Amino acid sequence: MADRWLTYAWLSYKGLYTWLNPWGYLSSRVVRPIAVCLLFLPLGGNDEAAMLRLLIGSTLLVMATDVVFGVALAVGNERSFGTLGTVIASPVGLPATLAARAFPHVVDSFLGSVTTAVIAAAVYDIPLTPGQIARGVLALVVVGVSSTGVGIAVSSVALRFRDVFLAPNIARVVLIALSGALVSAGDLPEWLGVVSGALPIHHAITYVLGVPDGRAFALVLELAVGAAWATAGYVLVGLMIRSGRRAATVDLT
Amino acid sequence: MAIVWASIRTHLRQQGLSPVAWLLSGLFPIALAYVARQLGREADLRLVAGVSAAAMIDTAAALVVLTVLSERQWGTLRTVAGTTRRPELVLVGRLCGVLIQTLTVVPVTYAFVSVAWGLVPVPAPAVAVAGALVLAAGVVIVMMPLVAVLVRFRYHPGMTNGIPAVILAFTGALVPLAQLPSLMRACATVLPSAWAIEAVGSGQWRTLGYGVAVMAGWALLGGVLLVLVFRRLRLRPDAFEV
Repeated sequence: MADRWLTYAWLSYKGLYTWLNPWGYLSSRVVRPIAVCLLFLPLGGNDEAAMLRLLIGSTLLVMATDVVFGVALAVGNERSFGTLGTVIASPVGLPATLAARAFPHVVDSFLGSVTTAVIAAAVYDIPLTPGQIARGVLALVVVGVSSTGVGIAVSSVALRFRDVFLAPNIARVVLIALSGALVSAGDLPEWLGVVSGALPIHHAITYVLGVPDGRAFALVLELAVGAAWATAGYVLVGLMIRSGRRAATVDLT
Repeated sequence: MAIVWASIRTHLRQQGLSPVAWLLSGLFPIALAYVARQLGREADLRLVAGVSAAAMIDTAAALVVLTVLSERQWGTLRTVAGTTRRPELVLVGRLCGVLIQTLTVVPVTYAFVSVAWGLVPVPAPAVAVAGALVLAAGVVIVMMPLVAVLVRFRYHPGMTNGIPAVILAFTGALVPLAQLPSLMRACATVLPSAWAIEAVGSGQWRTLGYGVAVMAGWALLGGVLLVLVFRRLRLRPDAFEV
């Protein structure tokens, strides 16, 4: 069963992720994340603590945006490539299908994010303790899971409308400004702080940098945020598919 | 010249209301300005110029790719190549359209920064206006070699995604160039946007002059590459299409 699911996941990754050619992959999944990290790190000035926070925040941001774009492309391209009808008609449940689309992107983005963190830390000579590295790795995995929910929610737009890239780009901008990856949630206005708490990264960065007592709870909250987004995404994808069937727009013409 | 004007009109009609373009040129600078300000940057003209540059680079890269791909898909380059007109002019017109679109970023950013953190003083208005023009033109002209590559070679999805991020990182859009590592600072000297940001921030004509000189170098390089690419492709008209 697991073997078959992994095969589905691998095939969907190969077939639906349009940036999987060598040039597209190198540019999108290697060069871009590193450059994004190098763009934000100098904002820390000469303050070591600020640089460390930005390194961890940028790495988590890279992880989240890569997963969101990957999942959005994988699900959205079902419609672009004319396979959405087959997916709907297949006996595999929607949750398993969406999870299979997302899984390879979580793994792939994790590898890309670790590479990004190593290179950015080397360029700016930022020391990391073993404890920070271990917590950072765990936070990356959890952010990968929580961002999957956002990716699924965002991808639902492409199942009804033609533009595959608009919704993930909006998600990217929101994550940059409000997730707490770059700007500490405490520095946000109160109402934006509430919005920030409902986004991936917010609790994960607390886990990496926060006080030891609240760490485990922060991870649980991050997973809860991911679960809420995944549920919302599942509902939205279902709604969009039903709406598409009613309007006879499941297939692009 | 008629081809250039027609191409500008086509571009603005096709991409002028593109939601992604409006998002990148409207929402992205606001988010970046907010992040930079919250991380301690002064709400001054340099912030406006830097954040505008960041949004311009992202917008221009996306529009340039869409532009070249659509021209190749429509077969217009092949059609123009069959006439006595130069197909390069079609792309020059489209790039002028991109330039007009990217220019809208500056007032959006200035308005947002002024509303959010108080009116930004402009000590040298002439340098600021000229700097904004050089900034936008520099961002678009740096994309000319990319245009040549996209015309000449097969397009692979995602292959240009890293380019705006790299240019952004090396431009010093969010921090003064002095805060970048030495290698990145050295790379910034060949980017007209880096000089234009510094010129707008400092109000110095001299710095802007360096930016114009660097931009002229990029224009020459891009122009030569485009001419060479089209000269080669005229011999194989099928290669104009995707």
